[in-house]
Amino acid sequence: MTGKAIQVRKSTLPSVRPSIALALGGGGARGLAHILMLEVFDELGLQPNVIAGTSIGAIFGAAYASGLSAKVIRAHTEEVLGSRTLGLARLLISARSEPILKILNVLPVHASLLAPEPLLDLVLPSRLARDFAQLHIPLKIVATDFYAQEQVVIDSGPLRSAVAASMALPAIFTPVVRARDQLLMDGGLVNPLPFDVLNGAADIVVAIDVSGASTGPGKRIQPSAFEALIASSQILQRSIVREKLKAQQPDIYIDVDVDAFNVLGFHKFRDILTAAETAKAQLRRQLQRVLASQTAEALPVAVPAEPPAKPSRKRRLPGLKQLTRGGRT
Amino acid sequence: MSGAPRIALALGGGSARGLAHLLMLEAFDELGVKPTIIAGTSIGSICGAAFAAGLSAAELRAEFEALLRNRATFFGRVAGALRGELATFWKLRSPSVIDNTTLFEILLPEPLHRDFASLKIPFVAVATDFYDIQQVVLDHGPLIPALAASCSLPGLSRPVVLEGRLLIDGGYINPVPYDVVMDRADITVAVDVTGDPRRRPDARTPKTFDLLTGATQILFHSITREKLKSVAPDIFIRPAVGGFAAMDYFHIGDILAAAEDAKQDLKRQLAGLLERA
Repeated sequence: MTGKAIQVRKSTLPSVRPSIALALGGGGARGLAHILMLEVFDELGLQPNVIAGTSIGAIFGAAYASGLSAKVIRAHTEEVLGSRTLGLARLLISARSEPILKILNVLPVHASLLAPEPLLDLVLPSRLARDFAQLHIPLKIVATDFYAQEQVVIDSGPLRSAVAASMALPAIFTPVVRARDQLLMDGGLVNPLPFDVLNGAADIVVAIDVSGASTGPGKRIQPSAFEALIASSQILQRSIVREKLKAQQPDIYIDVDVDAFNVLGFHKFRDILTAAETAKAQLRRQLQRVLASQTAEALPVAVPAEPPAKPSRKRRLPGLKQLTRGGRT
Repeated sequence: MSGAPRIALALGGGSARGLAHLLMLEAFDELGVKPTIIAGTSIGSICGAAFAAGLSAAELRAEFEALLRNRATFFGRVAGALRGELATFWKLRSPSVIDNTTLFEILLPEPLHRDFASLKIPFVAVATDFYDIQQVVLDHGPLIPALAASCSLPGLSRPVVLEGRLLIDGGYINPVPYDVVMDRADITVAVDVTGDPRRRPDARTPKTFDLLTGATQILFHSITREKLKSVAPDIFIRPAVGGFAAMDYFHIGDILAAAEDAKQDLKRQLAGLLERA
């Protein structure tokens, strides 16, 4: 069934169409929005020629590159996140249980961390390719070499450990050792939006940014120490993306409006998918514009990447209500 | 000297590692040149503001060395000043959260208790708007709340509310803030004291605490690395203090010793550029 879906995609694809490279960024639970972006490709009968993924982007990139359709990936994700069998894992990674707070309380004592690979077994569809060589679409997975403080791009060998490395969020998951003396962690530490590893790989580079922004104050202006810690790592990733976009921009940049969701808010997956509909429509429009041109030479001028620096909403804190977002397209 | 080149100095964030900034300031004093504008993030904002207020590098160094001679002196001074106000300092409900404003009122030298307007060298402090994820360049009003905001490390210090914004440490958006001042100078000097992940020889895998702090340091480095791709300062100095931990303040002697090479390097590079100018 999966194989068929891919054949259909290929047969509708005229060879003159521009090739597309797709970068799926990191952002924890907000990256569930990637599913909708993959739906756009399926619905348009388009297939990326190469995919790059960081963290949650690596998970969905690996699933899609394995030949699973966006529909299958969505069904599987909804089943996993909605199921009771995963209650424990969800409890551990959901914001409600505040596991990091517990870890912090015992710092600097050794805390027991989750091994990412067994969790991946639970989360990923069983039809995931075992090795990069078996993938239908070439895939580049971004991880961080902890000691070298450098980006590592994995594009061969066993797939599962590469995905595990890319998503090994510090203090939640144990780092992954792939090569000797190389401790790999979340790729978001160095490259939360890996469109630059796709340079020259295709005519059109599409980047899906789920690094989001902050959620706005809740009932109290002062966040708890836990909230501040979680949010501050988001801010750092956002800052990296912003600096990166100053030096280089992808052809299509989608800043998915998932600001209202916490990195660990996997329990809100339905809301996240709903919130990502705007971005989905935006990606569809931009890709259609590219398709309409038929050839790479006759491409329309790329829509300039919208810088993620949000126009200051000039919010004043006292008496501030829960942040409401206007539509941004 | 109206014809002298204007020099912008940007001092980055890095907690205790930022004590290395003291030696960079010495380099300026020893060359007999003054920056025409200073930007600071986090610990860099404290050192930068003090230098901008007219303290010499030697005076500032003596101040820090006296304060950090040993833990007893330091905590004695804090406790003595606080007296009955401990509850303000350490919010009892969240004991890990320190009030920087109170702490700085106790610890920082008198010239820093004034306004930005009183400074002899123009100075800006960089902070991060927590909810808007915007860089906030603080350049007016009382110094202490601005410095407290620029140094407000999430999880450790309480964020500072200033002019209706909730502010945290500037390092989260701009760890080495040379870009906010470089258009106001002919020569820009940037000092990066971001730390490196700690490798413990005894442990096969790092401890959770080391993973967390190391990951944060990698994130800081990544911002600077990406920034350098689009805009670079004339002189970029990274003192060899990456191995010190954020709270190694009482190792001031070792930190200054480790930064000595960087100081000489800065003097050489700056003297070279000034000669050519």
